[in-house]
Amino acid sequence: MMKKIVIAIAFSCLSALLTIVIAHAEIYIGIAGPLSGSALTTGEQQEIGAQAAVDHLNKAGGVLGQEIIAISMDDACEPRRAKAVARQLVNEGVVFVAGHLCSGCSLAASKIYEEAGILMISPASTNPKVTEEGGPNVFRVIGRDDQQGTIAGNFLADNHGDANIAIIHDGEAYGHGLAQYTKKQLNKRGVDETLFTSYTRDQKDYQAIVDKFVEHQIDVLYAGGYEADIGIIIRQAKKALPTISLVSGDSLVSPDFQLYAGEAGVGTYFTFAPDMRKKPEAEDVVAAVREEYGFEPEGYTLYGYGAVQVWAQAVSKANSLDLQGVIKVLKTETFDTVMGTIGFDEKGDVTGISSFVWNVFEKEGYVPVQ
Amino acid sequence: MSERSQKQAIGVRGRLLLAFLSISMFSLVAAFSGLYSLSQVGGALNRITQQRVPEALTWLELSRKVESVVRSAPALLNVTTDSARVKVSEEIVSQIKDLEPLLERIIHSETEDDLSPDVIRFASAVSRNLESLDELVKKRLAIVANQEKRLRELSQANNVAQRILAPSERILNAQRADWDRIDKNDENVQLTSEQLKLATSIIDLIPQQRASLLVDTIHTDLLKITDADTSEQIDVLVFPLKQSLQELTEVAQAVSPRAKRRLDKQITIIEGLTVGLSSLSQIRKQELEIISEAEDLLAVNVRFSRYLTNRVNYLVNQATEEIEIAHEQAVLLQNLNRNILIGVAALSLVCSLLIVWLYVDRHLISRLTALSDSMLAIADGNLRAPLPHPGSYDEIGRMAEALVVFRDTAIAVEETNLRDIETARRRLVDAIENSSEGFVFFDSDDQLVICNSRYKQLLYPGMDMDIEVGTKFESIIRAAAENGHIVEAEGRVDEWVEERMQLHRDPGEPRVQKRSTGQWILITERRTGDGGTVAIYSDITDLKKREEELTEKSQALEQLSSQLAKYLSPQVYNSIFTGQREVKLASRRKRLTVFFSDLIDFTGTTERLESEDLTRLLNQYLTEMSEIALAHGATIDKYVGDAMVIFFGDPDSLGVKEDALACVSMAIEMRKRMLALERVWMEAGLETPLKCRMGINTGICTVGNFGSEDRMDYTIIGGGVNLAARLEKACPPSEILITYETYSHVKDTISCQLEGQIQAKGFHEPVSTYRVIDFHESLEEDRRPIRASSEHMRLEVEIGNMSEEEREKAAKTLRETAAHLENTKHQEPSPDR
Repeated sequence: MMKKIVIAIAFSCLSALLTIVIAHAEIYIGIAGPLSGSALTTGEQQEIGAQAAVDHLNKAGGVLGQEIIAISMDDACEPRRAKAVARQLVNEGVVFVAGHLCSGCSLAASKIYEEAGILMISPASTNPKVTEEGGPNVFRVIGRDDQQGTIAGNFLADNHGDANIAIIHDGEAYGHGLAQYTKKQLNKRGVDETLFTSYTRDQKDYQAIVDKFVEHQIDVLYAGGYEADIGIIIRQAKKALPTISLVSGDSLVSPDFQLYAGEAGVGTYFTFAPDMRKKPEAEDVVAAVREEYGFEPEGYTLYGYGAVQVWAQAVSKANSLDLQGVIKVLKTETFDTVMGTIGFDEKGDVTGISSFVWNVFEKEGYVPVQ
Repeated sequence: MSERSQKQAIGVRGRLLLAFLSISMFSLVAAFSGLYSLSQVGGALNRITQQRVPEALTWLELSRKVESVVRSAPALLNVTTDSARVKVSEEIVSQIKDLEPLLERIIHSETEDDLSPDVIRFASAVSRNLESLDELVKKRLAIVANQEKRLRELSQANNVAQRILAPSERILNAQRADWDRIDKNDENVQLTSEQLKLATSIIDLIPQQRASLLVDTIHTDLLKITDADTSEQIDVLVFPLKQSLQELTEVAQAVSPRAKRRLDKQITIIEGLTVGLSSLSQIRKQELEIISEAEDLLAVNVRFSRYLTNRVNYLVNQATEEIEIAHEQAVLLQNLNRNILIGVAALSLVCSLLIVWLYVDRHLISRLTALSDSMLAIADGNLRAPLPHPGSYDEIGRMAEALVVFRDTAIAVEETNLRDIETARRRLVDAIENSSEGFVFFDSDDQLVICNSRYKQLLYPGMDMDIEVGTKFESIIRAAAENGHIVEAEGRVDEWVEERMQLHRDPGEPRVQKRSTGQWILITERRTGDGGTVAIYSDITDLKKREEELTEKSQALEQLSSQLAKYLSPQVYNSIFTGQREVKLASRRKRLTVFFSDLIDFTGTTERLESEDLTRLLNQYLTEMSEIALAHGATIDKYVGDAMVIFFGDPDSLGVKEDALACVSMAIEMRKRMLALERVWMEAGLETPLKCRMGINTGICTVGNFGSEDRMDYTIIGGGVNLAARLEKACPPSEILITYETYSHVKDTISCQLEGQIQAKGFHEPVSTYRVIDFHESLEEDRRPIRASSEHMRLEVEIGNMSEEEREKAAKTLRETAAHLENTKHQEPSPDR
């Protein structure tokens, strides 16, 4: 009898000890953009901005009481890789993607997200097609290239109407689109460009296209493409044509452009959305990013931050992760973000942000044109 | 009486019972000895199955369960997530719970050596071990989680550092391209300031490239640490890592200030991951410690499992030994048992034989055999056979007494029967003998059984052969044939005998046989049920003679009637000879089609001919015409010289219209034939051709027999007949004239032409006549008459008969009519008009 009791006690203790641990509820989101290749610097801005927003939200208790886990993926600004990244994020079970940065990638990936029922807010894709052709799950917190191209076209016509103008692009959705819109506006203003051509991304050497500039005695170059490629092109072009000046789009918004271009980058004009660092709403966030990441939150940093903010607020307001509910809130409500109070129109384009402004590179970085 | 009943009590039943009981006694003894030996073997088997085997099985099961617990424990060690750990632990717990009843069973089982305390000790040791193992796994999972977090940090830091250094890589590449171009263009060793600037710029970028390489190396080394198997290996890996870190810190000084700020931050993170308390190496060391502890615990479990296996083996061996002992015992008992059984069986066989031989055979079987022999003898008809003595008064004795009584009765019955049979036989023989017919009966072997004297007298008078019982049928008839009694058999005795035998074997209808005496014999043969043959021979000579006379008369009559038939129309002949119509003076009125024809100027044309030639010519003409007439179903009334009177509609009629059509068709064919005959006659020497004319009328006639009671004629009379005759007389040569009534019947099929009216003798009104042309279908298309009719319209156009003028007139009328019809086409006819 004693033996039996001993055994019974031994077993009951053991089974009591093996208890079940309850798993924490988590929400997975994706951050997708180029972390390598020619658009690396702007991609990094977006990633740090979005990651900072996630960190700050988690510190404040997460969304719907759940912790947010951000999965950052590198699409190298290549549409094909963007599709693979999108499928991987679908497999990870994300409910929201902050990205992609490049318009071509956003276009390629948005279809996959739509099928999987995933919300997508791009902080940087400016090509009009992104929202025009994308599904109801596609939003962006930046202006469109039809606006940016018009501004650039007007600028070229106003200031360089008599000069030899070359318009070049990298053949990608963003670069090609921007170049087309610019050319359209320029031609509309009665000015014809001397050269309209394309170049290949991620090349070591751009001497071939520089030779074309020399051949056509180009005075002004308008480039639609990403910062690293354009930096190298202007660096090499200035050697052959010291008087050539560069005008470009929002992708140049990083002091790293100067790293690529060196002294040749000084005097480059480019359009970018308003610099959000100056917004009073952004003051704390700017300080925090500088402190925590050792990173200057310029360019797309605060747009990335804002995209995550908008999503978090929409989910809270909808009180659910259900895609249709969140989309409805996004299209009807307004959101207080580091970019000010913003909302979205029926297509998913942002409202409440003034469009593009001119910046110019000086020796110590870019400054807004007064 | 009392003595008898006592004897009866130990009768056959008692004796048999006594015999069987003594045999059964021996079987009982054998069965008891068998049962005893089986129970001995069963006892040994019981010991094995109820004690040893269950115990061994319980231990085996316990061993297997413990083994499976021990086997699942390493799975616990390998889990990577907490939920997986919970799942595996739960499984182990449930397995351990399964052990509980087994352990209880072992504790309660009675075994000589008490091993239970050992088992309990080990069981609780395993439980405790698993408990600690679970704890360790929990700790390990926490460490792994921490490690993963740190690895993420490492990967992040690596990515950021690489990204910081990436632009310089790109610029370096571009500048190298520039440098290459300069080198090619200018061979001068002296560099321009521009080129110097470029060179300096390239040199400045080299440390950054180095830094990038270092970051990569550090990253790889740190990853290797997390996979290290021992802590010594970790220490070995940490040493070069520290050096790389040192170099990276130095190289970082040369990086641009903006990049340096961020790079320093990443270097600090990487340093933290390399050395210090929360470094990856420390984490891996902790993990390795836990793993080794867990493996120690698992080893204890394996020891316990082995102990159990040994224990089971011991028990199984023990059980095997006992089974062997039991087996030996069983074999011994089996042998003993077999010997006993053989002895008992032999003894019981001998005793049974003795009992059967000495007792059953002597007292029962021998008496029964004697009785049955006597019975068989009686059954065979030997009623005088000796009967056995009844002996003792039991069932067999009584049977013997009953047999004596039965035999006496049978003798009496037999004598009576023999008398009856003799009487019946005599009567039958008398009856056969007195019959006027010959009677004979052959048995199935065809041997004569009985015959009467009439048979011999009728068939074989004066034949020197003994016909007696046993004579073969074949030898009788052969003798008869050879003696010439049979007319048929003359000259062919063997064939006839063969045929006769065939008939005898398979008799059918009664047959007639002619004898040489001129007698006719009717032979009636029948097969009897037992295969014999009964034959009756009747003399039918008188009957036969009368029959022959009758046949002769009948043939004469037939010949006469066929001669007579030629003087009569076939229809008339048939209806008289088949008895359809009586030959008496009677007539009736009927609508008939009557045909008259003759040859024009026959007498005049033929007067120069010889009488024989004339007869031949006339007969040829009449025969040919009659054939045509009969082919069309005509009734030929009479021939009057060269004239023919033919009518349709009696005695058989197809209907008035059909009769008329048949008549006209016949006339057309006759005319056609006449044209051919004309040529034949011309060739035969007739100068002027003989032309035929024909008249046809359809009308009411009286048909029937006319004349006196002694001599009468089947003919027709009446106006219709006369009119036909008139028409014939009015007919042109080689033409056919028909009256309107006939015309109305045939006009749909036959094309006719109005000939005009004739004033026939004996008729007040002139008669319209029509000339027959031919069948419509034989006429050419454009000469065919056109006919159409509807309720209010009738159209008849005889194109063939029309003159040119008449045709034009008719065409004009038709055109006008067509035009008028066309004009009034759309006007509805008003009922008022």
